[in-house]
Amino acid sequence: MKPARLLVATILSVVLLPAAASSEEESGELLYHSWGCVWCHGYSGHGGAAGGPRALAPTPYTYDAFATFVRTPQRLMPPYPADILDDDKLKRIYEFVLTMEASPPADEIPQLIELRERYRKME
Amino acid sequence: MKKSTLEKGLDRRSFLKVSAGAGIVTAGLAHGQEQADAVVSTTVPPPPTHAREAAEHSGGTAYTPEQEAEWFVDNPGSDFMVDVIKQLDMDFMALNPGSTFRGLQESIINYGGNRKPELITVNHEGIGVSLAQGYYKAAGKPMSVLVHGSVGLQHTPMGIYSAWCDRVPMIVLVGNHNDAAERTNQNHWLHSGADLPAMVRDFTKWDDTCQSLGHFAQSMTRAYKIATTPPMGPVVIVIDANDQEQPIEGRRPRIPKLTESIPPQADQSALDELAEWLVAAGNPMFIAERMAHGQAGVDALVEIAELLQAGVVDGRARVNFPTEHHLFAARADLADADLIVGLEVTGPVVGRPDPGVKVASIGVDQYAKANFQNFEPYSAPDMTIVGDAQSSLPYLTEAVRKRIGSMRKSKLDERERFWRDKHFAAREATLEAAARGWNHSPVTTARLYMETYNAIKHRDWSMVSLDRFQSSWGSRLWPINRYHQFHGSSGSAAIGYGAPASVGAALGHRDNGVLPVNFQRDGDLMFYPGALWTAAHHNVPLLCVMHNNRAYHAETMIVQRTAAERRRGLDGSARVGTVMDDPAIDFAGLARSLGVWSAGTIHDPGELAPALKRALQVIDAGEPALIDVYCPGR
Repeated sequence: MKPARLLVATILSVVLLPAAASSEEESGELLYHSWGCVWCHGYSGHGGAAGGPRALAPTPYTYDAFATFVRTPQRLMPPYPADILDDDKLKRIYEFVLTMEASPPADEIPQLIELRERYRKME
Repeated sequence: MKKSTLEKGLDRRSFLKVSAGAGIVTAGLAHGQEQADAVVSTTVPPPPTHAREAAEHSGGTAYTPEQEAEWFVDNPGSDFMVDVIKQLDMDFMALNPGSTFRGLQESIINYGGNRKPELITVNHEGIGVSLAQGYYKAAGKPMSVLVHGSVGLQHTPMGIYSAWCDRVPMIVLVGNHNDAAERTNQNHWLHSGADLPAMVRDFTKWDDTCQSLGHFAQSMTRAYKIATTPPMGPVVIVIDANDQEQPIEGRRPRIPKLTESIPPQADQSALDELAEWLVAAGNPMFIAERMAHGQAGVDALVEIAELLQAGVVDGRARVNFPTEHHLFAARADLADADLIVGLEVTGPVVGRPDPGVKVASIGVDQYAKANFQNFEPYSAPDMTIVGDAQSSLPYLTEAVRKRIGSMRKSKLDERERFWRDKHFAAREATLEAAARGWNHSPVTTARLYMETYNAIKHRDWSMVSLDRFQSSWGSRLWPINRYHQFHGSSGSAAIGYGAPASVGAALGHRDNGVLPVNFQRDGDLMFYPGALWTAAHHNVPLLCVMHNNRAYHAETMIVQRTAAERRRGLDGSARVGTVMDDPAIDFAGLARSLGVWSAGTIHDPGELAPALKRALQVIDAGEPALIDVYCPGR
């Protein structure tokens, strides 16, 4: 690389790369993973066992309801107070949760349709 | 024509003489190797063949009578031990080889024909005992495990403890050099003990150290009977190396007859009183843990539950009640009951019942030892009936039937409708929950279970693993209606049981046409991956579907909660010490290296069905198969 181009590249890297890295670090998806939401709520927000971690996709919660629950979950999950996970990060997580794809309904999945028909015969 | 010496070859002594002479000649020609070779090739005949050497020792002329007596045994004590073991009708004995039981091992192979028991090679004694635990739950009969003295037995306690907690019988045979005067080398001392069973006595039902063959005959038969009488459990028998290896002196000892124990039935007057309670209750419920010993137990519980239209919570230590039955209830439903009857529940029937709720228990398990705390909190049911629950249920059912006429039919109909509505609403909700993330990668645990079920649903199957760490999708989605279709947990909630117990269960199902399916947790497999080799080595068909979440995931969540309660480290510190990533373990490669057909790691759920199809072809050929699937935590 020629010296002039190297200089431009160096300047650009100093100016742009931290911003790009910061943006990546701060993305809601990354925060969803790094702050451990994924461990209980799953990669696709599918939740856990009955009575366990709730499904998040599609989320039925407004941001205020979401934040209230995350901040003060009454021992239903680990609490994430604002001095630990700030509002900005929590909003990014919420925005990522909103982007999670809704799953196909059970009556569009052949394996589950078959089970449902089996249940209805027994009912 | 007489053959020359060179053509026939020399006997061993002549060969040595000639070789020595040639050596002298060779040394004299050492300055030229080619010449030396030429001399040897023309003057020294080929060495004696093995057949020739054997011929020299044939005919008994090469040994003095003293040597014969000292070096050869025609009637070893371990042959008699095999006769004792054979009358117990055990199909298998797991072992990792060791010199303290070499006599018995050889007798099983060459005197017993390696049948009843057939030896199953394991790479660790811990695999052996967990394999035996899984085997019992599939076969309904115990197997034995042969371990090598102090060192072998020290590998087993965790697995024996699980069997103890799970009330599973097995017979652990420990080789030992009982007599210090007969220990002829250092290892005899290192591998012997004065009271070896002491290390597992806190969680075994009985043990004995045998001092003679007659002693062994009595204690082995007694051990089997004690182990298989409810409450069942593991037993330990120490067998002396000398007893195995020395010839039987005089008359062979008597082998006692094995007779079956009839499980204790509950007192009829107590059952009559409980029947009064059941008929009078507004919402009676049952909770069953290790109640069923077989399908008869399931059928008996269905009968009384339908008679009363009473909900049943299955503690899932065994299949006690069909998951698809409309009376199959959730533990949370117990909150609405006014009478709860526990059936072979080890701990409290219910934690803290509300005032006014009656609690009764039927079980034989009034069983505790001082040290290990698996007896769980003390609770005082309003009525404790001691007796084997499965054996007692038919008598309770008859007592209820005599009194049920006093109940209004409309009340029973109302209960039936209540449970049916509740059950099928829960089923619908489960299907919707299973659909979430259906097409997502990593593969959701619900889809993992459903794709596998779809592949095997037309076969007679058994889920031989626990599904609790996969959001219980197995019991939520699969129709587990028969006793053999699910085997419950380790009993001790310990990790490392899953892989060997699944192989044991598959061994138990090998000849009955049942397809064993193991949803294998990654953390569990890393304790005893050698279990896969045993499955391959002994041609044990087993479908292993990995739930590979690259973590000891339950602990990740626990550490995260702990950090949250301390208001620190929530941004990922819980991964330290709890994940199995970087590098991710190649379970398909691991399985292949152990001789097991494998596929994966699968990330795309669409790849599961074709992989399962290939795996079933392998299993139909009589071999195990493993599919590694990358999944979310739960």
